[in-house]
Amino acid sequence: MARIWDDLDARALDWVIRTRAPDFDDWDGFTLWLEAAPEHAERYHAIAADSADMAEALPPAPLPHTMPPPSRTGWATRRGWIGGALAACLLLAVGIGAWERRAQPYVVQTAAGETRLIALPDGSRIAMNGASRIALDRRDPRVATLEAGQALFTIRHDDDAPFVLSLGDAKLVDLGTQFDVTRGPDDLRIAVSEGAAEYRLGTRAIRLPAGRGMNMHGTDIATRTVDTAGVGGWTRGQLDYAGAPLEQVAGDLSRNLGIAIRVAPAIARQPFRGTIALAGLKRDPAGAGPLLGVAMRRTADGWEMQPTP
Amino acid sequence: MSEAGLEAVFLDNRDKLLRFLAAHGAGDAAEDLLQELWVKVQSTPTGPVAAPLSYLYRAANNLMLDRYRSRRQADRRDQDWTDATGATLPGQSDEPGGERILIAREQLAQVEEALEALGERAATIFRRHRVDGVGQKQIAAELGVSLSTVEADLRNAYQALVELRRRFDEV
Repeated sequence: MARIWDDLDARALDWVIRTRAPDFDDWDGFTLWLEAAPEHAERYHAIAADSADMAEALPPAPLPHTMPPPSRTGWATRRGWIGGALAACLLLAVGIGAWERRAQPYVVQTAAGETRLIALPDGSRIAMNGASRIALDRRDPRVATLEAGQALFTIRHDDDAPFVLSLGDAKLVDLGTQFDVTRGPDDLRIAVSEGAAEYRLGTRAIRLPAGRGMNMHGTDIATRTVDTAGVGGWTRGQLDYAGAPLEQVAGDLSRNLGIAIRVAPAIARQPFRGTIALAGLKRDPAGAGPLLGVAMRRTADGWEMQPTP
Repeated sequence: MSEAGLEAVFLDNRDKLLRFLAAHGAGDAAEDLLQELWVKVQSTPTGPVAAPLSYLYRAANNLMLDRYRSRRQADRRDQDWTDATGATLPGQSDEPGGERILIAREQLAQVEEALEALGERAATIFRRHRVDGVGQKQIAAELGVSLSTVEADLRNAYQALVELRRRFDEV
């Protein structure tokens, strides 16, 4: 593989950059370029994938110190500019020390069916499943908040600075390496596959070693045994269940496939045991029916699991 | 744009979108992919869509890019680099991550080095654009440089990283 970069790559890169702009609209021109030679699409795909690989490995940029935080949009308007600039100078003069240490939160989110990998500066990694939202802090890579959805955390452990994941009022403190967390509106699932983690809520603490997990529904907490090989299976395109209710399976499928999948109330609590391979289901969600023992019916905006006739 | 409106635009432009998927190398799968595209668009909750055709083209483009990338990741799943950085998602929970992370950190250092070698401005522009998802015009305003400077820096940064990515593959 002698070729690393040539003129055709340069032209493909132009299209990669242009098509990424949110206001790009020359789709006819882009179609013509792609049609001109099959190699064009190949180069375009390769460069888009190569650059995405690299961009995902990079931690987010530190915010330039000379800028006001982006949330203060008012500062960018012309009218407020002079006052804002003055205030910024004052802030810089007196507040730079505090600014350095101040939390700089940012949020990463995924659409249903999309996954994303976050590499933290300390070498830890967070694999986010679809329809998920995580708040992080540029100043402190040892804290995160899972606001919704699912993520697999592979954490570089440090006894002096344990990684703390906030889950509403509760906290999950890393004592080892790898755990998977799913947070819904009123339920929470945790599975630990390497090392250990401790769940803390008020004065209550539950230690979860590798191979253990817990489910919380409302305020009820139950611990359970988990198959460590199956934890984070969604990152490899499979979902493992040992008696989970179908409503949970439906939620997981929606998140992973990016397709709305619901379950009829009559069978929502019906348990499922087995492994679902996600490949192929995206194109044909009905394929899950026989395995789950349900009938998959098309609805206005997705699919519904119904009792088999 | 209501769901019905988006569907009308989709149906009116079926042939154009099909042609676009074919131009992307969809081959025999183009019809299936068009169907997959529509299911995906339908099941993704969106606010009002200002430019529906452009929205559908973008969704089609993303679909083809995702498809290429997930295939490539599946092909590479066993290779060190992808496991190490998680370009393929981390999955081997039975192997403690010590060594994988070490390799990842080494290569991440190379990625950061390549970016820094372009100069602080270009490195910042790339990070703001690609990692933080900030638009080119806003970056130009933030840094007080022209839009063409942002474009040129961005192109250089992309090229440097793609070249490095390909060198990782050659090892």
